[in-house]
Amino acid sequence: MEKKIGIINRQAPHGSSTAREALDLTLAMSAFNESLSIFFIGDGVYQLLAKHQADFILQKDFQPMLQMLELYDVEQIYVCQDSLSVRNISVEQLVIKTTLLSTDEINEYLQQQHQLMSF
Amino acid sequence: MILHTVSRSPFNSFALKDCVKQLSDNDLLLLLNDAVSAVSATTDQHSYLLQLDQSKRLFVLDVDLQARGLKANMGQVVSYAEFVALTIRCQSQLAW
Repeated sequence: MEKKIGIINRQAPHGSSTAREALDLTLAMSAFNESLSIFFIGDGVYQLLAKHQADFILQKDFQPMLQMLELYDVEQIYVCQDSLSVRNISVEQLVIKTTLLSTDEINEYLQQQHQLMSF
Repeated sequence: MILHTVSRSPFNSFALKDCVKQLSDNDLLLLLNDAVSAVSATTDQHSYLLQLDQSKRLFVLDVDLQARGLKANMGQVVSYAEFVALTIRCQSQLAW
């Protein structure tokens, strides 16, 4: 049976390259594994907030690459509802289609993964 | 008068929390890099930041907001040029 792998995004974009590296890894892994789950928790939810203009601070805007997740059949994308609300972000402001989960539900999903990678 | 600059997210570091503890009555606070999220979200320091904004001592770097698709709910949004002007106004700068 294929391993279930969870990729956890916890950091804000652009301040460091972590978010981009996680996305690169996700897209690369999707070629070998069809049981990928992507989690956005804490500051990681900022990666999904629409209308980034990263070129203003000389960074690459990786948001168009987020759209590729669907193309690569990565469909299990989970966002922490509590992280969104504390940051005054509504689900309409997110750049891709995701499943909203509570902190407890996220914990449950994490338990189901065979391997976890945290960024 | 000190210009305090905070560059880490208020949600995963203590930079903002530590900084506001050290802020004197006429010091200025400029949020940049990942710290700009503090003016669009509701942080533990929210009421303190509002007070700071009322006394016109809270500033946020424009490009860092726009790069992240964020909008400022408080603070004066400044350009790089105005950032330089702030450093001239203050005797020294303290980076958190």
